[in-house]
Amino acid sequence: MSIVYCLRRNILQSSTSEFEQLQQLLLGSELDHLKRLEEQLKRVEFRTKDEREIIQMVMPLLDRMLQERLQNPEDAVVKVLSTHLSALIAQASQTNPAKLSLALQSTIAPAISKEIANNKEKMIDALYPVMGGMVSKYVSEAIREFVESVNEKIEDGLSFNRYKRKVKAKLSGVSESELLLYESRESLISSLLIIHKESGLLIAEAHLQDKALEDSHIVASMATAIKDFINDWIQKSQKQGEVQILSYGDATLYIESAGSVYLIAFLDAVPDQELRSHINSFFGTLLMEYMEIFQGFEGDSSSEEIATLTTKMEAYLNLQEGAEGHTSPAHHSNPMKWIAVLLGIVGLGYGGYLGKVAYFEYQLAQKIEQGTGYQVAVTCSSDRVILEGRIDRFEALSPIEKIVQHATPKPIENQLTMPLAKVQERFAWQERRMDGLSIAVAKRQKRLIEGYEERTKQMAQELEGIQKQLHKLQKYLKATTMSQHDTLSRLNQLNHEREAIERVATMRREIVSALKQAFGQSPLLNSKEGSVDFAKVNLFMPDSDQINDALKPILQESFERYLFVLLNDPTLRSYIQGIVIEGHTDSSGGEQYNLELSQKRAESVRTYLLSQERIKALHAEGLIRAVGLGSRDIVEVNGVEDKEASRRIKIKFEIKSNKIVENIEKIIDD
Amino acid sequence: MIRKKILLLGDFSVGKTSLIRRYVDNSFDDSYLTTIGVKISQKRLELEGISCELLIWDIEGATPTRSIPHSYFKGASGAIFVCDVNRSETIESLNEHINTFLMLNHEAKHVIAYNKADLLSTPQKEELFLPANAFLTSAKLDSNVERLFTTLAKEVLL
Repeated sequence: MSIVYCLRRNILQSSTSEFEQLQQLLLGSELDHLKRLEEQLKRVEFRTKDEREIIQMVMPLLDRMLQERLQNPEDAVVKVLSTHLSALIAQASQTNPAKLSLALQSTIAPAISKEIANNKEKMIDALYPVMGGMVSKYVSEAIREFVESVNEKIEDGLSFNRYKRKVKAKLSGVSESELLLYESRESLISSLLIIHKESGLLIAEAHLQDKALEDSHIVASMATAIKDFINDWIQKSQKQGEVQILSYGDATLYIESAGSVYLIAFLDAVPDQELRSHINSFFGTLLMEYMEIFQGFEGDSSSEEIATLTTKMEAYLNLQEGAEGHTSPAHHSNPMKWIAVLLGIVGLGYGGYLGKVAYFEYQLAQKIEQGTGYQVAVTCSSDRVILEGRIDRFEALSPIEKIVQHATPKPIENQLTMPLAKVQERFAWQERRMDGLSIAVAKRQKRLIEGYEERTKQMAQELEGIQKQLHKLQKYLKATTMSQHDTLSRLNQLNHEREAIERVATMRREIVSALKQAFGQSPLLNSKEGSVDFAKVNLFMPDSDQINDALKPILQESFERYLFVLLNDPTLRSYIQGIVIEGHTDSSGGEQYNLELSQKRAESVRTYLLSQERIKALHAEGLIRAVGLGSRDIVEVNGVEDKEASRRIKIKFEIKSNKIVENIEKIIDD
Repeated sequence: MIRKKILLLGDFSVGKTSLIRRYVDNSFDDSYLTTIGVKISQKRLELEGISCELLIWDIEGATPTRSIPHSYFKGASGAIFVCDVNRSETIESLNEHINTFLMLNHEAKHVIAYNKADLLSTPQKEELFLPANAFLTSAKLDSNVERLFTTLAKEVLL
């Protein structure tokens, strides 16, 4: 490259035409080549400034170099690459993991295989903490599911083994559930604990020989605490269910809960459904028998009942263990029985219907045994179910009958037998109970009757009181009603009187008005009270009742006018009670004298007036009366008696208001 | 043999577990205490000729992030409530523990341990006023521990 550059510089420096001609002559085609080289050089210079293009150009070269080096490894190369290898792998795993794993697969897989082959133990130790638990979990789960699935199918189906077991049970006299326990030796129950649920105290325990638990009481409490802890978590998580299986190392604890106790079975493997069902059935029989003991447990496990409970639990465990060393129940059976079995199978094939009935009977007997622990023979006839067998407690009857009633609606014929002692004991108990009940009932009856009598007395007294009260209330009500009626009546009367008064008042005003109109401006008319007063005319001389003759025409004319106003109009007349001629004296004489004189004066005027024909024609004699008032109403002028004016008569009308006033006064007085 | 369930209750770090260690014959691994909040220990004793056994549930104090199942409290015949005599808040919370316990076990008996008495000076001890059923205890010096448990056992069993 430096030679080319020198040539280029020389060419540029020789610029003259001669020189160019000389160049053309000497160099000719080389000069053209030189120009092409110059152009290429320019391009190369441009490329060297672009870093990415340089890398692209150089990378294939480096790849080839690297491949060559790796194919013929040298320590130095490996040393250099190993320092960057981890970073390169990390980078590749992020940018293109698929490609990286593909690249590594071919190398690593054979390497691991080789390593496992060479150092098997070490590799297992290394991988187990990571893989062991996971593998173990999935394998256990898969096996458990498989076993349960198989068990279910066996349970539902008509497998030969099942029938074989049933037939075996019939012939050997050993229950099917016990035979099942023989067969389920894969999950060995080593211990059974019955624990009081609330306190966690151990009520009873049983263990296989050499399998006794150390500190079984602490274990029982601890198992209770763990179960409570997990159940508490389950409840807080709002999930359904209860802990039933706890595993620790090789041990598995199957926990069943009922009533006031737990039953814990220690096993060497997780029990399948069939075994669980069997354990539960056994637990059920214990619960029925010892329920009262369990409920009343207060920490004392030394009672006789708990000792028998322990014996039963041990027998249950030993039955299981016995299968290992002892011959199975089938081995005890007589070969002749197997021939009979075959004949029986032929017979079953011969009579399908009979077989169905027999199968039902058998199933029912099994249910009874599982539910109550008693072996009861069941025979179904066309109209009833006959139960035969032996039970040792009356309490067992009810659950047995319930199971049968649940299975068939046919009536039960009970031919179950019981030890005579138990029967007698039961009768004695019943008798005692009946006696006790009779006494209690009689006492209760007496108490009730006494109570009722007392209550009846109280109620009669209360009733009497209520009746008295009611009577008083009725009287009060009557009185109130009457009073109200009376009040209303009086009120009505008052209203009538008020209306009458109003009418009278109105009528008085009308009469006075009519009198005013008739008398005009006559000084004789007292327009305030509607009277004609002869005070101004000196009608009488002192001590005389003789009417002044000169004044008689005035008297007659005035009275006639007065009467005409009052009596001519029928409406006004209907209100007129009477017409009063009042006689008056001056104050000169004594009172009695004046009264008599005034009376004479009034009578004198009345006589005179009634003697007049025109007045007679009015037929008002009965209405007119004379009254002497003495000197009680003298006429005074500026505080001095006007004796002439006092000697007078006054004519007034009386309206029919007196009766009304009397009525009002009476009402007010009442 | 009569067995009874006894609870040991109190706030965190008042010395319940130390009292148990000082007293009992046998117990489960301590790791269970932190796992499920309870540690169960066993103590056999003879009271007036009667053989009996206490199953002592050392129940961890509840914290805001962790609650203790109430079923632990059930079925207990008695309880020992423990407080740290040097920490007033643990004494104040005794009532709450006692009320919770008695609510679930109406007829149960209880005693109180004012623990860590070894940290008190003599004048402080003299000024201290304790209820009738309380004991000033020290697991460290084995002071009153036996008496505490025996008193409750007598209450429960006799």
